[in-house]
Amino acid sequence: MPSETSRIKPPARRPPPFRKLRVYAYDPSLGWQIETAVINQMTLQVPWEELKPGPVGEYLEVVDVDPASRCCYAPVDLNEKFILASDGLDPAEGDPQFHQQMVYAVAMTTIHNFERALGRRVLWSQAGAAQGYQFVPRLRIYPHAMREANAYYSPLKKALLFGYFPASTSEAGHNLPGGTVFTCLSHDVVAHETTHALLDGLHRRFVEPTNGDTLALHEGFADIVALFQHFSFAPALRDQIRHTRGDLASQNLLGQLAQQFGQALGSRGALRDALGETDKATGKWIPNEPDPAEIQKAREPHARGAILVAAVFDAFLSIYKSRIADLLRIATAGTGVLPQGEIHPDLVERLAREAAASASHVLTMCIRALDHCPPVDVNFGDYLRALVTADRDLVPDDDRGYRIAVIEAFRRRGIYPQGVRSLSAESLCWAGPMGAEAEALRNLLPGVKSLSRIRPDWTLTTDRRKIWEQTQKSGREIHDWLLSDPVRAIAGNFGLALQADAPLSIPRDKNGVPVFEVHSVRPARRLGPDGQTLTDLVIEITQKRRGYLMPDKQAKVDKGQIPPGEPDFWLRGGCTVLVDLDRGAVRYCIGKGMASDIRLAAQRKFTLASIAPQAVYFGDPRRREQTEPFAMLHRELAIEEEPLV
Amino acid sequence: MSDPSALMTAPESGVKVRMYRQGLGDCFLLAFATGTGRPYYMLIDCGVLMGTEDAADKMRRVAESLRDSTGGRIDVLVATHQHWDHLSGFDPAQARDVFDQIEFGEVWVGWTEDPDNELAGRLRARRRTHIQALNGAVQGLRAAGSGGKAGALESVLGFFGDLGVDGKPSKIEAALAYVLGRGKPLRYRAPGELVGLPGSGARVYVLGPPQDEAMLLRSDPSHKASEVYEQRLQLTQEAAFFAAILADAPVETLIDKETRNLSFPFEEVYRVTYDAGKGDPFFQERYFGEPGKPPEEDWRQIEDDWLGAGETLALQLDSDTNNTSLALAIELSPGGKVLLFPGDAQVGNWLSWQKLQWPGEGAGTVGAADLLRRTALYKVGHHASHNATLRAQGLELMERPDLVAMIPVDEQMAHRPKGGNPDGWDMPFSPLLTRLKEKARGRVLRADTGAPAPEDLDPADREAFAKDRIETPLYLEITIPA
Repeated sequence: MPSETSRIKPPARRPPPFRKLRVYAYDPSLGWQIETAVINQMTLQVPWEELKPGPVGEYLEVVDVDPASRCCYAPVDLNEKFILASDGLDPAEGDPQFHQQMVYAVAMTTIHNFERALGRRVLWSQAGAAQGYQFVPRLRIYPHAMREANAYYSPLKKALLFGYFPASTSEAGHNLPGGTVFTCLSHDVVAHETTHALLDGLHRRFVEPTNGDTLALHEGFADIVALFQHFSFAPALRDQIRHTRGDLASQNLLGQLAQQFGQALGSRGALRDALGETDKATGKWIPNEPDPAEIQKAREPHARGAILVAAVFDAFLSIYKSRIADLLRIATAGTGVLPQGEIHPDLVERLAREAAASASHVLTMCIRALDHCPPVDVNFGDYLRALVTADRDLVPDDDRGYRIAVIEAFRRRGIYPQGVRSLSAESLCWAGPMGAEAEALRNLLPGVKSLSRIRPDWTLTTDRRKIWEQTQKSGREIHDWLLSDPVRAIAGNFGLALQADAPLSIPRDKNGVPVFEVHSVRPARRLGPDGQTLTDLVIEITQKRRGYLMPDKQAKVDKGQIPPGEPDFWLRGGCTVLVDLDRGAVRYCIGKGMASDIRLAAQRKFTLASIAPQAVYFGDPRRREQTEPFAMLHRELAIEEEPLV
Repeated sequence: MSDPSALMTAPESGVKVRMYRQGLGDCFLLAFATGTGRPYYMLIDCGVLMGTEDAADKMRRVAESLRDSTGGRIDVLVATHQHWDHLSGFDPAQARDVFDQIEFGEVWVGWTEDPDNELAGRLRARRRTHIQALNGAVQGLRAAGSGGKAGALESVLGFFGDLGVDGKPSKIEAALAYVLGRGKPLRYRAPGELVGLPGSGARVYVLGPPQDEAMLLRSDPSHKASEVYEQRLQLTQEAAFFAAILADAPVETLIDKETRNLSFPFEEVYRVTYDAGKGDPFFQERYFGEPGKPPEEDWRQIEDDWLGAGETLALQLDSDTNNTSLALAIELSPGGKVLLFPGDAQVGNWLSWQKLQWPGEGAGTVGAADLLRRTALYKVGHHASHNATLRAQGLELMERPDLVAMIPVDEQMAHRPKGGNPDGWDMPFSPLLTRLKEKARGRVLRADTGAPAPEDLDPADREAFAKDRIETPLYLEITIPA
């Protein structure tokens, strides 16, 4: 036996909290420019988990097959000692194993941010009907899925597909003309697509374009997460603050999303450059002035999403400015005017910390708002109300004026909710049922005997499959409860049409009862008046109705004069109900009325105005469930067409 | 050999317009009044969609009727664009021998068919490469087990007829070449021209195809750089995609070795072949499944996803070709009624008309908007699909109370499932049809269902409209007085 080996073991150690992995901070192209090369690498701290080669973990599985090349690339083993010892593989464009490491690290960071904001574990959306709606433990990531300038989340396969492509030969930006651009190496693209998957896990009807805002919200929200995730990385932030002397509104890399992706496509600057643009004449970057009319003009989902990003970014800036006002006064002896030249490193450090705190707050706010959105047909106005309501639930007292900042920023971008009396925070908050209805519900709710049992145990340590199974069971109980006669009678409160006289365009079950679905049951944390943490139950209930482009056909189907047949579109309704488990009362009921003719007309108009170019030959994607909404959304960028009839 | 009683006469003034009913495809015969007693005959297109039953018999009956109705001489033949549903009649397997019996005067095609035009040549080369690659994509999808997607894609390629192999012209190219060869003389028409029809007072304003490449390729911003297809593919996005599709094809002329090698994302040392991957436990468990067994989660495989880009390419190819349509506005008398024959022009073609100006009566000028306002007959583009009739700068400008619309469509054929697209094609597009009926006060003639029912017409129009038209199983005909 070699002498240097000992048989005495130390006490068992706990696993480390994090695994450190190196990634590109932006994308590889910045490494080729001298001024950005130093900040283009960063080390992410990913929550520690047992990993198999792939990497394959609890949430993700990276499977590197490349069908276009008919190749596979060996799966990286992040537990390999050389890799562990050096905080992961060196960033390298030509090494597929590094690509696998990077998509894993960035996607896990995004997941971690969601779990932290929501205080519960995240689930992917369940598999489709053909797979028996089974539980999907892991999102699959294909880093080299196709040869095109495209990257998308596939709701059908529960997978992220990243493309690679040669950079344009005429306008390659910072890329090597003809050199290969990998979308999976763009930090923002990975965070963006992961967010699509996370959002789909919460709201699987948000992928259906039922109004001009639904897909735009998906795109905008994904950009928001990517953007504010950047702001939470201190080293890059310090560098930016030094460059911009604390003024984050001026040109900076952090705000320009998806640099490489956009440049390689041949358009100058970033593809989704939400916050400003480069003046063609002077070559100088100028921030976008808020224009309330812009939202009326923008139709394409990315363009509309950019307006949402800009509004949230404005809110972030005013929060940041209010937080650093005192620091600037201290540093400038009360003048608030910074002297020429570089600012003091201590001040840079303090400003960076304030910026990170503001960013983290805004990111949390934006993610938490998802629990307060209607389950279907969401629009930007709904999202604003959800933001304000969710923030009030977490921070009852708005003494820093964050909610005002958000409302003001949205107002300046022309985003208003429908059907509210004023833009005060109080009137923007969602309301619950009032008076007799509230009373009726309060009496009926205990009918769900297991209501408090339903309160799922979603803490961050529970097995995710168990959580999912419990959700299914709770959903069935609530479904049965809704079918009981006294509850059916007041189902209109939930935006549902459950009575026998509901329009016959709503599908029926074998007993002739309109079909509906309990979409989701999950807990949401909130802070009570005396500071204790309370749990609400979020219940999403949805229903669908056949919609037709021709109003006379709609009327005939509604009345049962002709058999329904294939619809031109599906109108979905329903609501998100937040139940206070301790008081047994409904706090909010955020609904989209099923029987609303106004909604029907609006969706008909939208459907007509937005027929996808591929609809002529490949069928309208909205009529079919078997489509990839994001694949075509991104491809359409290349074949933009004018609306015709 | 022709039957004199079958002759199509011209009205006292103006024109008779006959739409043949061969199915989903265009064939229009126009007889203009002249002073001589013999009408001036114009034929616009003659084809039917690939896959139509008894296509040859149907097209022969049409061609025989064309021969007999014109006494065997057609003064001008207009071929709008290179799609099978507009030209199939000239194929030897359909009715070419009947056309051999007809004497043609002029033949008009768009400048995009001119072999000496440099831009036109580039467009054609591009089209050939795209067709070839897309055929490869169809094969690839079949091999990946996605017969549905393959069928949907193939149905779009059907517009080009069968593909020529080994550099020989395809059937559609051969049909067009035949048409070009019959012209005495052959005229390549370009937008901005104004051509009188001899003997009649009618004049033809040429609207499209646009000569501005950007307009022609509108819907394809990535091709502003025109050097891309000049000779051989450089490593562009499409080239990388095509290189993958044509991986097994010996098409060195299209994709050279170096391009093919560069199109791989990684150096050879990193590449593991599919065969090796299928033998590896990791890829078996996560992707391929064990030998002989389908993988547990086969629904998550991505074997055909990368071919989805083919759908985009097919759409581009189709709309690019539709945009090469020779679009004509035929004015019956100076400042009078206009017949609008846009071929299958799509958005870029329609928009380009706005820039055109012709000298008008006196000091004024004539623009596209004026011609649209005076339109009395609109041949609805692309079988009334949603993407070939411009709204604000198109249909909404047509304001004559006596507007008539003719739709060469076969709804049943269009709605037939196309591969993985169970609904088929939405032709006619119902909101467009509804608006056409409103604008034309019910005077919408469809090749499939014929003339409108009396109750669809304004009571005041019924009698006059019935008097103006003829309906037979073979064609629908309407008189437009000058």
